[in-house]
Amino acid sequence: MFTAPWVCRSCSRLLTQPALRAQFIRGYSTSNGAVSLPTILLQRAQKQRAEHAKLSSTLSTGDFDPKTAKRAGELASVANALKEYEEAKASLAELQALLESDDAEMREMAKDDVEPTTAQLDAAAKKLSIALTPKHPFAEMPCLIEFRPGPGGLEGRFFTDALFKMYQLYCDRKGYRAKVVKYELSDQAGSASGHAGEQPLQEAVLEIEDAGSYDIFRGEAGIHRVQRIPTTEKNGRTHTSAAALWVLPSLQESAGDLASDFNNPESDFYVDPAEVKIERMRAQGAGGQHVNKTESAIRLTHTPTGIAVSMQDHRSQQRNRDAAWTLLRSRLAQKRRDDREEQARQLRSSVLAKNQVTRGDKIRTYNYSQDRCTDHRSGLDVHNLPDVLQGGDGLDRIIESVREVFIQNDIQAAIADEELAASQLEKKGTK
Amino acid sequence: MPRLPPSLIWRARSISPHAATLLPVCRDIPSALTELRWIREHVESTPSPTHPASIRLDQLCKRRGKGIPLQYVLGTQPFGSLELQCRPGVLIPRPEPEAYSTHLGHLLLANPSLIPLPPSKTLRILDFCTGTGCIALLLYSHLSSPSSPLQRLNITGVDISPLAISLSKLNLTHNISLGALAASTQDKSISFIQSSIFSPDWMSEAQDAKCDILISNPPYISPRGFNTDVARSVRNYEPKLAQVPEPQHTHHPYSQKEGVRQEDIFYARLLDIGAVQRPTVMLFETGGMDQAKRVVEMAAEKLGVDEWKMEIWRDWPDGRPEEEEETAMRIDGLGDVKVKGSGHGRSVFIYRRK
Ligand SMILES: C[S@@+](CC[C@H](N)C(=O)[O-])C[C@H]1O[C@@H](n2cnc3c(N)ncnc32)[C@H](O)[C@@H]1O
Repeated sequence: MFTAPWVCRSCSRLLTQPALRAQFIRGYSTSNGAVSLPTILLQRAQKQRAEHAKLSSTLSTGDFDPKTAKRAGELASVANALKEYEEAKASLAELQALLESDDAEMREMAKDDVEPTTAQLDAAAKKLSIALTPKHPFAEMPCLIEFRPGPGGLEGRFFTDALFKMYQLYCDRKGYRAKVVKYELSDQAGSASGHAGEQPLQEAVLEIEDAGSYDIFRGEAGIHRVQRIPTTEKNGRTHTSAAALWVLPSLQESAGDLASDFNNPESDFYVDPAEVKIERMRAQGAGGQHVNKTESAIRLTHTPTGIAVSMQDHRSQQRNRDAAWTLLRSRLAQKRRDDREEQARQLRSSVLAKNQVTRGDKIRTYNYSQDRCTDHRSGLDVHNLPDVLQGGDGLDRIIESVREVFIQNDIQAAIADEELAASQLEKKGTK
Repeated sequence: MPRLPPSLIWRARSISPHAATLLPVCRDIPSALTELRWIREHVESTPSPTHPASIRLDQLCKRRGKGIPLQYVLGTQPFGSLELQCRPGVLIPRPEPEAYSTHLGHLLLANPSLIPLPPSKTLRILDFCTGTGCIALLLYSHLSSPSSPLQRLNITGVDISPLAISLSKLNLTHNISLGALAASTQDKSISFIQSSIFSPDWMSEAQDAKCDILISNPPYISPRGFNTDVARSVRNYEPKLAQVPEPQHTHHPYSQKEGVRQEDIFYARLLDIGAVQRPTVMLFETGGMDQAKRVVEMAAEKLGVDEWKMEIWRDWPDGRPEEEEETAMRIDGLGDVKVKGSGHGRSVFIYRRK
């Protein structure tokens, strides 16, 4: 078993390295003091460089195997980043020696070089840690964004629609291909209507077909909170409501690797048809020739997990069915990944765990009367809410700030995992 | 139909005047907005050089708002992987035939032993009362696909209505041009002919006339049921010939046949044809569980149960039965008959034991 002491050692070490803290936690570089990566990361980098060298020589002897080539390609970025890092480090050491020189001119020259070289080292360290951080397994996939109103009735539904439109506009502006997979309104609205044409949204799914959009949008998942005066409010009071967003990986048919072969039980996207309950809309009355319904709703329930999806957006029964299966696969894949991530998280330091935002936490607030959008993970405030809601620059800045936080969290998680593995090895050794 | 509350109409209008136009047929705002989106998509995907899109949208919404079936307004209905043209005078394809035709297609592909055929022989399918051709065309799409082990296939759709026959032919070429269907070849072909199921031709003993699969969605509603159970827009806009077996249209002796109800007349005829042609598989749509049971009894009596087995398929043969839905049904003098899927008793599946 791993015990607390090494955990504390690791996090205290992390925190005593000013440069690292500066980079990883604040995201800017500092120019004073020597920068160094945690030993554990360096060891990992060295191991991977050795592996890269070995693979490269196998490949060069003519044994071409696509799998080996792929792995070598992945490791190449680590090997290169490590080289840059070591070079920067060596030059800095050299400069440090020169600073002690008797030659005054030499000392002056060296002094001028310290700052750019330190910046170089900072950059190299960051590059190396990103290269060492395992890519999210879904990072290169397209994604589905699911929108659901939180509890609290109509106002939440209207706001959910505002968010849906915000992402549509954002994709438009960025040139991403966004497709409406599902857009289901609630019939609860009575005669009320929301701000600026908002509809009472019950559930919607937007697919962003560009490869890699999962990585761009994964930080958007969570609870989005709104504070504003609803159009239905007579006394001018501000209400707080919420919408939940899920970001799911979406399979690209053409990818053709294991993960996307959903017939393979090893794939995260695999669904055993025997475990799925299929329900169709019941015809009122006798059905068949007696009626002519234009809608053909279908609901799939994955019985082991209780995950249910329904679809009725298309006129075509088959398209509804296919879309429902796609959504079910994506939901299951995300859930399986979340479960694994949760397990890994529990093994890591409790300090790190606190940094992680979990599903139930609110991640962002849209405050209409203060004209402000705040992301609670990056701490970024943007003061032009209409621009954010139009999918403008402001939203870009928020999304970027969250991605930065995610990268830092991933690096820290990778360090923690590495240390965990090392300590377990150590344990074995001492036994 | 109950009147719509004014607040609902008001809200629909505040969203879009088109939604308000559609509200009387769609009955609620989400459905009205869904249909509006479909109509809009249709207008966008079929640009007209002479008629501006906004005017077409107006016109289509008005026609739909009057109660004309959406499929006649837009001119199409998706059916499996196909897009079928729909025209007044020919019944609009329903989701249930889509479900059982798909189910049958999968069943045949998964169990080639169901229809033991030497590879050199052609599998022949007859679809009586083909209407738009939907069932024949969907089976053709499944069985002529590259993954199908079938070498030779011949499907014939039969209907008494010339309108239906020209529409089914149009649907064949339309789906070939969409790339949804392969054009007929020497080995795999499909055709449509105008003929009555009561024509003596179908009782021919000639070998080359015989089929392996007999399928039909015949008219099966009683004159009384037509007035009480059929939705108003169906009654007002779709052909009665497609729904109620009427002796004056068919001039057949079955109307006088002892003990056969008017709504069951086509089944009596189909089973007579089955007894002569001796296909391996038969599948007939029915109007509910009671009618399905009667068809099972008629089949048992006509064909016997030593050689034949019967099943009842519900609306969704691949669906999991609800708690109250039985999976077997006792039928007098026959014992238990398997009931598959969920929903109403939608079709009777009859196949020859080995
Ligand atoms: C219920 S519709 C079925 C159409 C199509 N198979 C479907 O599932 O949508 C019945 C069809 O039977 C045709 N029909 C009526 N009497 C007939 C007869 N005596 N012989 C052949 N077809 C007939 C009608 O023209 C109509 O197209």
